[in-house]
Amino acid sequence: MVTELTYDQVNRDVLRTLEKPRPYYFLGLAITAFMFALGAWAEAQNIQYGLGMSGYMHPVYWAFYITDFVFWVGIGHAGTLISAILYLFRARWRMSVYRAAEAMTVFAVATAGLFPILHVGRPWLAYWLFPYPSERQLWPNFKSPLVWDVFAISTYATVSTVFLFIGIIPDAAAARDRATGIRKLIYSIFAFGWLGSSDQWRHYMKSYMFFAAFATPLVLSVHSVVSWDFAMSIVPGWHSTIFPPYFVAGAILSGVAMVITILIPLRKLMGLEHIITMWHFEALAKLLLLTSTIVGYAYATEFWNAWYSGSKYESGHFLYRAFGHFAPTFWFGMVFCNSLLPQLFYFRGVRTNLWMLFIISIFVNIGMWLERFIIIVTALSHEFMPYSWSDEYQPSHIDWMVTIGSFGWFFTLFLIFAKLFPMVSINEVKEILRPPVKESHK
Amino acid sequence: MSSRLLLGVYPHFDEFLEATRKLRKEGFRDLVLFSPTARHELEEVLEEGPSVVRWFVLVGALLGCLSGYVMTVWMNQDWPIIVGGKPIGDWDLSGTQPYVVPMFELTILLGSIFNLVGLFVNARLPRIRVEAYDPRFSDDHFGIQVRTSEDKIAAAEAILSKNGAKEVKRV
Repeated sequence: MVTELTYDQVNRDVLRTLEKPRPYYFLGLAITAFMFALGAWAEAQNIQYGLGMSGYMHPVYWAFYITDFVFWVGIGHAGTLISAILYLFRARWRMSVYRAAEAMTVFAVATAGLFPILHVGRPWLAYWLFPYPSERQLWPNFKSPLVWDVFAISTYATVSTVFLFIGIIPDAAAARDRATGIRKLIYSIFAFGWLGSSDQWRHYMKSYMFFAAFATPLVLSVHSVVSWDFAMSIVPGWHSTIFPPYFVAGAILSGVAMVITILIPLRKLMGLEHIITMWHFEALAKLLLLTSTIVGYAYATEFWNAWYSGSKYESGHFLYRAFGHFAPTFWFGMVFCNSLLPQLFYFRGVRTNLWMLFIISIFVNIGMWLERFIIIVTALSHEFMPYSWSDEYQPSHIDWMVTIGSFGWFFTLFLIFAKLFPMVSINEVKEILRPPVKESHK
Repeated sequence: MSSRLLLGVYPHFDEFLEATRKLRKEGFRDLVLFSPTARHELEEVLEEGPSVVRWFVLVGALLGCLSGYVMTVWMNQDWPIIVGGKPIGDWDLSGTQPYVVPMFELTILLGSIFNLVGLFVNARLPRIRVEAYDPRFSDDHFGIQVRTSEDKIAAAEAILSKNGAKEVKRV
């Protein structure tokens, strides 16, 4: 718990993180910017020479970029879970961690949104997906899950960005009241003249509640729509009714893992150990354990469904997944990283050990990336026609560089944000503290 | 008669609430409270009703849902192309099942945008001209702004300072 802090302490300690960065911050920024530059160079190759640079070959025409897309959308979901769903559930532990998680959401969606655009091969024509009046008088096919995706992802990006900046308004006001010079001007702009008056708070809290109430079904719908990109087709291994809840649970698992991966170094570097405490990490670990168990159950259900369906194509696909060419990634990623390893969080000693938390969260990140890769690539490698079965798929160096570039893009945005805005919500942490009262009244 | 503004700065939450209650009891109704964080006591002590932002949200959400329906049906009627043997959605809702997804997303999108507009309109944001404020209100102090007439200002000032105000300013 963080209840022994005072208002003033929270103000000072969080605003201190916005001061002039130390050299290692610029080192980190240089590394992530370099990663991004690599990805941008690789994408330039894709644009210049075509998507053949990306290792696509018959029958696998969805591979790394769609994997990256689903991975990054999934990362975003834990942020909304923590900021919106746990807000509606009045989970007090969310107050210290939700800002970082929400920023992660916005940048993860900004990263995810790039991939369908890269994947279409002619990114400059991606606007064709939107319903706009064109001289050809064509409209999108609203029965296609790919068009649903356009609506779901763009709504998600808009709503989560607005939600993030609404949350920042009172904190920007707190920063404004302490800053001087150009910084005062910048925070004044983001504070929109916030005073913290009773009428402002009244409207603000109502509005915030509605944002949370909208973000909650939105986050469930977004990953359901992403899963329909697969489930609406008839490909064995994709065409399944369990996909939406299975994908949503997977998204939250990967996102919570990413929150842990980011928060452990962040709180150390920013000196926020007394605000983001072991209590918060334990709660996150429990969330990871829950979602890992759901995901593990869904993996098992997929196999059971395949067997019970009596469809030889379906069972053929799942035998291929477990024992075919890509089997090592299945056993390592889906079974070991996602289902078994997080079960260690049943032990309190593991939940409260930061090193263990950090290492397991990284394994889950890798496992969840591999899960999407397996779902996409093994299904396409082993469809109905035996003559088109293929173990040939090999990612090219361009695939790897674009993927590394996406991590660079995400962390560059995140690092810049972390220096500009408070990574812990000042006003919401104060909300769960005891307000200052007169000594004799305590 | 011209009205005057008073601003009391309070380091303690309990005294700040007590002072507000006393002011209201004495007939000072034009009060604005300042707080570093949202606290339900503020609404309770001022006896305010629920915020009207909710009506903005309702209108936005309904409009979003309706515009999703009109957009998808009209566009697919305008260019009817049969995909996978599925019917083209029509105005009587037949064949519109797949359009539920864009309708749902637009409900949320417009609901959220109207929510934002509702917040900014009602909370008077962005606000450039500020009548009374103290930078400590965003840290750990609370404030009471009283608007009253010239002849009552001394009485209000007395209530503010007698109930633990660290500072009382005439603005």
